[in-house]
Amino acid sequence: MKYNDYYYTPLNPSLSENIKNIREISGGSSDVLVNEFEAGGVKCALLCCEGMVAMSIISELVFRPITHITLENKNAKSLYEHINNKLLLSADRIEVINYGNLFRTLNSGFAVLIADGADTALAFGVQGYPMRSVNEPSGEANVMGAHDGFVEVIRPNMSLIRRRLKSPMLVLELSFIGSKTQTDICLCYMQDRVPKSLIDKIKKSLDNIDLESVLSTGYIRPFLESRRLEIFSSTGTTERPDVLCSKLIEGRVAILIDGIPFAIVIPKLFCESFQTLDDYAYKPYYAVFIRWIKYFAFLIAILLPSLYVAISLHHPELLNPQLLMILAEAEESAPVSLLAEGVGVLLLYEIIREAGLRLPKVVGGAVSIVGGLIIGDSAVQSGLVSTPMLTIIALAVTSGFVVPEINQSVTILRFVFLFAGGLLGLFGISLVACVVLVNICATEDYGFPYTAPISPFKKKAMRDTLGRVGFRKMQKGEFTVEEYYE
Amino acid sequence: MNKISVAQLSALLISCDAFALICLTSSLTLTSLLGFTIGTVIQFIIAIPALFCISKGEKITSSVANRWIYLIYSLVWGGLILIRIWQTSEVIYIPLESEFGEKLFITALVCAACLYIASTGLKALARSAIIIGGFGIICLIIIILGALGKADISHIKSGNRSLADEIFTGLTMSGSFGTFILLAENINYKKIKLSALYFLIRAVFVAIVGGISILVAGRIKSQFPIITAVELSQPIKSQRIDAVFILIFVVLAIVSLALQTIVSSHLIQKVFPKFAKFRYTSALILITLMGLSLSNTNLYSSFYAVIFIIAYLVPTLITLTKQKGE
Repeated sequence: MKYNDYYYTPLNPSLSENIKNIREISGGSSDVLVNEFEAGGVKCALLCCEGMVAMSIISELVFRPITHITLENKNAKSLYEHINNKLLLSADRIEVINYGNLFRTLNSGFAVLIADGADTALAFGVQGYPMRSVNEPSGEANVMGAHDGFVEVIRPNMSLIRRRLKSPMLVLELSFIGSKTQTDICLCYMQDRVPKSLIDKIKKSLDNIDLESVLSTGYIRPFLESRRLEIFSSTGTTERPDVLCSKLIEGRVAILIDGIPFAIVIPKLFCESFQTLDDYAYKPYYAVFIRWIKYFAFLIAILLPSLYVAISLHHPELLNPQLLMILAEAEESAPVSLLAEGVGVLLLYEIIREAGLRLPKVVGGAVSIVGGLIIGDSAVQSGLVSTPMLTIIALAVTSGFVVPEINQSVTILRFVFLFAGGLLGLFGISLVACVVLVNICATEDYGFPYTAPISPFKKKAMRDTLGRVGFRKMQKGEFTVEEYYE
Repeated sequence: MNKISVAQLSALLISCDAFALICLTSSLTLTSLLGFTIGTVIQFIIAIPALFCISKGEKITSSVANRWIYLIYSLVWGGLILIRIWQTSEVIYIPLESEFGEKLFITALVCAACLYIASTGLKALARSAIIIGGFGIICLIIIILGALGKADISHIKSGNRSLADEIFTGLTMSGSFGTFILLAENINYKKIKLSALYFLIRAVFVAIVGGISILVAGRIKSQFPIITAVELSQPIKSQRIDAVFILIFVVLAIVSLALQTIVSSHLIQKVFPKFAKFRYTSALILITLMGLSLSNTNLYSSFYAVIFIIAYLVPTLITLTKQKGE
């Protein structure tokens, strides 16, 4: 019989029948351990999954107390009553009623006790699987803030949030998705900050997920975003518990997924990509300066190569004579057109970047040297690529890393604008800019526009969008993202 | 149609008016500015009954006749916007060489962009209009700074056109007036105040841009006085910045055309419910056909001024009569 057929099948009162069914469902899997013994004169079996439980905890906190039980009425009911009323065993205790639940708890690191004559089982949380220790996030570096990041296991991640947000208003709701992986997910929100309607809508979206597996945030995010083609993602991710806490306090909802050291944040706004936690550690004037550098870098990352190609090819009158002479001289020996040169260099960069990213770190460094120094240098020396073009592309690419969260969209937009600028000049750039702008403005999830608070314009929010006021001003007036709802 | 805010509606309509102003082909004088201002005041006065009606909860587009009138109106205004794009693209360098003609290719590209933009809905366009408005203000400041050094009172000249002619020109430039009444239905907020705000911003904007053009390029004979004035207003000596104008032109052209496409498609959906699925494409095709059929027309003919006023007044009268009858 297949596992799915057993999913909602209730447990059998007969212990031997239960053990037979469990072995059959698991296909005799070697890591499913079945320990038969007698407790208080009742035949029992303690099931656990090897590698998922802490053996010492089982021995000390489960096995030893249970084997010492003495019962007046030697039946399963009395045994369960005794365990429930007189023994602590584990703080995390669940009653299991069917095989689906049994295997879910078993594979989540619980020890499951089944007794002869009982149609239910008791599960004790004795997780002891290997996990990475909490350390600094790799993608969201921070200078002045905390240095801990999420890990792959969901419960430590929940504790990282709870440790920072001790308010009882913080709700952490566990459930699971994925018919095969049965991945634990945790919905996090502040119940006094998030409207119930938003929570219901998100839960409905999660209920509509009918995937077999959930192994990355990318599996879930499309279900939480509107179906319209979005250039920028309207859900955010973070691997920092401190960042997540700030989002929760602002009335956002987060989803933690077991096995992934990232949390999904809903809703996400465009301006958030330019904000870091360090902004709030620095002096406001410096934070404002850095923030504007980021806005500028974003524009450079997308538009610089296309503007260079468009102006050089189609609107040279815009360049002053000295600059025009320098560029003309540099491009004179290039064998291909400016557009082809630009596309070629950008593609080459993407290839080198991808190679450096996927290879082991030691080899990755070598790829960077070969790509950046050897190919780059020899391409310029041989005249295949002009120095100004290489400089422009390098500037654009480096600027793209200033806002890493939207780097994927920036990369594609850079190519689109480059083609538009190369083929149609500034007219093409304007045309694409219009389409991109409207696309960004059309992006919204659950009624929260991605472009808020710029459009729809919210004057109050400008204090932390265009600038960053001090905390003396910031503490006046509670802010929740609900203010942006349209 | 989606609900939009007062600021978004104003930004949308001002963008459309700015586009019509950029494409202005008649010479600019102080009489022109006075005429345009009087035209704006006239529109404001005749807008009040309609706004009063809407404020009371009456839907002007609930009548089938009114839907037809506004549909034809928006298609005609959409067609006139296309003609403006064709005319103005002749003086703006767009690097296109096509066997079928540059204009056709430009139109096809603009229409393709508009089709996508219209499909995202009014809300997305209205949000974009706010950002475009901000960008426009920055550009206007740059142009004003550039114009400071070039402005000269001696450039002011007296024109040979009468004030009445200029009022008519002013009225023909503001075809988005009809769109204003249609969109005002989608705002549940102080409609008369909104109306005053929009017309005031428009009058000030026209006065600033027109004033700069007269002071900078008033004596220069030019087909497009605003474009000439922008080309002459260079704030940095060693660096020309008039290419920024191409960006403004294209963005405003797309916003204007996309707005008419959205309004037309909304009305097409109401008039021909069976066409609902293809409403955006149908609207764009009809606008293009209208543009082609009117391509040899005089955009500033008093005929259009009268038609725009009548097309606006008749639906209001129909609604008021209907209201009295009930």
